[in-house]
Amino acid sequence: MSENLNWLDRLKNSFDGFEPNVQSNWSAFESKLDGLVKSSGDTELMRQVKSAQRFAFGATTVAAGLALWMVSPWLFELSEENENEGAGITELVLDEVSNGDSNGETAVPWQNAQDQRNRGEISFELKLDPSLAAESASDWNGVEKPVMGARTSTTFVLNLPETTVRGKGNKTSASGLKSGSAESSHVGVSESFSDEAKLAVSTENEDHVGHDESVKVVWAASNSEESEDLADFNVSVQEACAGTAVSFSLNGLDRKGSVLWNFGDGGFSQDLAPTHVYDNAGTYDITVSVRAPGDGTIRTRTVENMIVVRPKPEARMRWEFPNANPHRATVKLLDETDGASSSTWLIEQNDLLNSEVMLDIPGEYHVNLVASNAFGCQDVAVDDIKLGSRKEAIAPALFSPDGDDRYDTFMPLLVMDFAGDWSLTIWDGSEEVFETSNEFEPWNGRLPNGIMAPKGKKFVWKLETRTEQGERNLFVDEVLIDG
Amino acid sequence: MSENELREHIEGCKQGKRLSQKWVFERFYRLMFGVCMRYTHDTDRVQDMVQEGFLKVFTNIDGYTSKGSFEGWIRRIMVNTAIDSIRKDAVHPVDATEDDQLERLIENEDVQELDFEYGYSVHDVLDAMNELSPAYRAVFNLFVFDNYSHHEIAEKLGITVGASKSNFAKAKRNVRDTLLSKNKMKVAK
Repeated sequence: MSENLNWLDRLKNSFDGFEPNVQSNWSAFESKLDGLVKSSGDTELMRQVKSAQRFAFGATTVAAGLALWMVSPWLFELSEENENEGAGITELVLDEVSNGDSNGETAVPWQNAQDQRNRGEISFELKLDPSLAAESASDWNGVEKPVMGARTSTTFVLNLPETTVRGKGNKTSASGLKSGSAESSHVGVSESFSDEAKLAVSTENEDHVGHDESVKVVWAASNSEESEDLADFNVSVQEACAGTAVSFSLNGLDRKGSVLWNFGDGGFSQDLAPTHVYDNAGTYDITVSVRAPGDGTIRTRTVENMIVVRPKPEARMRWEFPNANPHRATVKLLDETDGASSSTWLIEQNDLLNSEVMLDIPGEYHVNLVASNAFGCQDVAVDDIKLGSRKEAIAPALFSPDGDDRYDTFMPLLVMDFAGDWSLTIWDGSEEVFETSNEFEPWNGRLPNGIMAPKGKKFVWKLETRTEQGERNLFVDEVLIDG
Repeated sequence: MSENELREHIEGCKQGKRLSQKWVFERFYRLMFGVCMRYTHDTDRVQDMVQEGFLKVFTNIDGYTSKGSFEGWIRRIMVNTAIDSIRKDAVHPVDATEDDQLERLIENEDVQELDFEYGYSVHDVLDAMNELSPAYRAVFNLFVFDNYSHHEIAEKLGITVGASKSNFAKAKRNVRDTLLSKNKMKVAK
């Protein structure tokens, strides 16, 4: 038979990588996408804002979305039979139970369900509640055969009371359901498969002709190495920033049971909804092990590359004083963060519109720099700008450069034995007339043209200091040439 | 296209970044056009399918978990979209009344034709497929190109497994006959 397919194989192969000569029309598509985005409420901008906020202000929630199949054994009451753990029974995984109709009068007649998974085989049993069976299971019908493919999950629907089964492989069997029986009725199905299956039982009540309802029991064989992505398994891969708490949660786990999280960087947690801080950038696999309370079955699921942790910037700042008078100074703030793509300045909790600001003298100002890198990861640097006058710099208000050896020179006392760097400049209006960084070279009142400063004139001086600890301060005031 | 570039843009799509969506759209557009073209010869409709498919790609991008190939993932979405679109055309497939007989017949023919030389272009095949009814065409496509089993095809198209097998057998014969007649025409020239 395989040879018969040869020409089909060749036909198929001729399409490998086939790209017709057509033009993609992005703008037409984009308008469709826009319609979609608007109707779903989040514009791209909003998303960006949201994601920035997420990175900035706290825990990144990873919707681990480890879907119901992880945890739903607790949604089920395990029956006595399950306590009998025979050899070869490796686990019990019953996933989702939903009643198609919440309308109580047509409740589906089932009491509990169990499945047992042997190697390569799952057998399923539905026990019907006799009282309910008598009431509404009078007519079970509708058949579909489970089709187990590697590719898709599919649906079992049992035909009852006469089950006919179509499809490949071993015949599925069903037996025992008697209409209106006072006894428990059993339907057993067994089928070999490797992936995931859903079982749906449809009932039709004579009193509700045409009104279908179903119990859906979904179980997943969890040998997930060979299964493809499970339909119920929603993982949203998220980015986080190094140093930011990431929170994890399992959907639907609301009862007892124990959980072990492996965060992929050597960190573990047994909390149901832990938070974890990644110190280093990288891509991490998350593994969750869940132990069922009843039979102690441990199931483990790893999500590769679930979290991408982005590097955090190291915010650094400095500032300059391009302009100052005795009352106010212009401060130019400089973001020196490596790889910063944006920066926000806060002085005394006020947002700055740009990086230059006028500050009153004297005063002490608390500066925050929030620097973001290209990944939207942020860091904050904090510093204080101190602006002082002659009082803080311990400088005289006047001096008399007349050669009498008394108050002949000007130098703020602050710089005597100062631990750090400093620079003193003297200004005549906007013109710098003197500069020194040596405490033994004070200003003697001489101007650049060689003549002495005239008596009665006031000059502005600025003293910038930088301590060994890196603290930078500015002192600005006036000095009067006295006679 | 480097793997990293693709990966970055997939991440970008997950964050709703427009530039990444554009990149993915343009990168895979033609390939996916080729996939949908197999299902119908109506190019307007193909265009709709591809756009519809990409909308699904971007709205469900979080469901792509980097485990399988991204191209394969998109392709699957496209095939599903194409099937949804043509399903209404395929609601009345020719039923399989004489399954076994037909299959035996086809097998015999195949044995006889085993050595027919296959040297056809994509367009020859598309032309041959254009001769098929939508139902035959869908079954043929799903089975040959998209690796669906007859069970899966039956489920997807809402037909019986027998109908899927029978439609496939007939579609296969028709495609081959069309191709063979082309070959003869070529030879005649």
